Amino acid sequence: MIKPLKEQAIRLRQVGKIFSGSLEPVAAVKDLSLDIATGEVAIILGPSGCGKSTVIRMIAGLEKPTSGTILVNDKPVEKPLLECSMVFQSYTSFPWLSVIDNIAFGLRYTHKEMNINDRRRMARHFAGLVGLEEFEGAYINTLSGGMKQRVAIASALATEPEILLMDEPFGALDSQTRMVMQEHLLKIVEETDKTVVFVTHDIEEALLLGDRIYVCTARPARVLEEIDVPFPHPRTASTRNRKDFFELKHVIFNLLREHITAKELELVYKERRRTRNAGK
Amino acid sequence: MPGNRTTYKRNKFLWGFLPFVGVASVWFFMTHIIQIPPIFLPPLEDMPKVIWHMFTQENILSDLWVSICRVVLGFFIAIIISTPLGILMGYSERMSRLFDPIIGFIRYMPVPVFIPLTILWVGSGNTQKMVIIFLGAFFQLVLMVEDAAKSVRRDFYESATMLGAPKRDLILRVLWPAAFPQIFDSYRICIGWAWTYLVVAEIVGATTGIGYYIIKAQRYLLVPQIFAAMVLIGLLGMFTDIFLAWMHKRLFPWEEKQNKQDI
Repeated sequence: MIKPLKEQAIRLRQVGKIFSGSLEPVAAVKDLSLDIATGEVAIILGPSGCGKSTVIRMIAGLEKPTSGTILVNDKPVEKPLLECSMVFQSYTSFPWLSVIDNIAFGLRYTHKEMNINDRRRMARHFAGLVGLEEFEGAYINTLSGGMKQRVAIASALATEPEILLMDEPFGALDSQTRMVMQEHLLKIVEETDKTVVFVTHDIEEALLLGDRIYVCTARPARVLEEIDVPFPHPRTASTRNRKDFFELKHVIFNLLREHITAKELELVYKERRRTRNAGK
Repeated sequence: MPGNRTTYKRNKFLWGFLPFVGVASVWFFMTHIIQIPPIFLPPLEDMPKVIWHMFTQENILSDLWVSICRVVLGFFIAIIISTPLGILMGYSERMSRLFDPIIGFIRYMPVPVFIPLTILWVGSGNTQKMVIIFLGAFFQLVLMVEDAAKSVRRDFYESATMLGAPKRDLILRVLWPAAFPQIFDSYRICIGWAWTYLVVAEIVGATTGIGYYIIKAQRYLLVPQIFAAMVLIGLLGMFTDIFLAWMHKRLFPWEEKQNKQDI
């Protein structure tokens, strides 16, 4: 089943971001334009350190672009919006709160009419959704990495956002846990019609989860190729075994390979320049 | 690690008692084997007798009580003012840049220097002792609280912001619970210094308190009493520390201190 394409939830137009570092300004993103349709799972795929995290942080309103515009639901993003939730790569659930109170944290702001009991009841539902109903009272530091990220996902979903932003949420997990988490997320995403923006450097992850993949170049980030993922929904773990899954994986890898080596070359030149200058 | 691992595991509390036995043995060795005269080092076995005498005949309890009240009150005032200020300085770079230099400047002034000044200003009563404790604790505390507030992970703020928290809630609902365990630890460390400053203040000019008792004993060359008073202060400090560590566990059940490896 192909999701019907609706209006665009997120638009980036000629977006650029320059970090004025202590040594020299670094262009993290340059002339980036992309549209993400409502209800679609969009993947921003690129090599590590290519500036893709900066892109999603700008959509979230945590960073301001130095040029260009970002529209979420046709409104320019100036500060973090309530219709967006974010899952970070680092474990950002609060260690001083139990699982249930972590999940309920945002409801205080997004569902102001609720009292503490209503919030906990709603949080309990989302704890169940990520399979943590037995750990409602546990503190975060007693959980495994995968469970911590499930708490983070449940916290993000509990506020009922239209858009879910995920910045390499499984990047810190070991590869088996990561695969299990991908299936978890797949199930959740298949059941809802949320717009998801997912940043990753993992090609298989991108193919499994994404409706559309934006392959980005190394820093400064720009869209190299836009790929529609043809696999039908609902997807499961076995989607990984399709023949065209492997083919597409190779296509994307070949796209990225030269950019990874280009990045390496750039570093080599930089290092040579540095040593030459130091020798003077 | 000396000793047997299983004995250690069975007697974790007695383990901390061993160094006391060590110190006591050295003390005993000095007085009985080397035979240092009691005027320099009174024999250990006299201590219980002396302490008993202090409690029953010399009313040491009232001196101790006065000192405890001074420390608790002076330190409490220091906490009340330094905690919000330190948090503000840890949260806002502007505040940190505003206050850091002046606090760093005053912090290095030796507190005993303020004793004659404060006697001149407010007399030699309880107020003066508390001012000294305040001065001694406040400037250290502010910087320690600031450091605790600064070490709160930035992504906690970002995560809370994404979940809809407005700016003012970031301090109350993120910074405070995240930093409070470390802030509490700085209280625990600083209260030790508060005791030192109190005793110094009481030695220089006072008519009551444990420090005054020590200087009085020194005047009459009552060396056993000096030692006994020091032992009492040590015990008081040790119990304060044990109490605060216990409080830490109760207040912050999510904070499981990493168990140190046995080497």
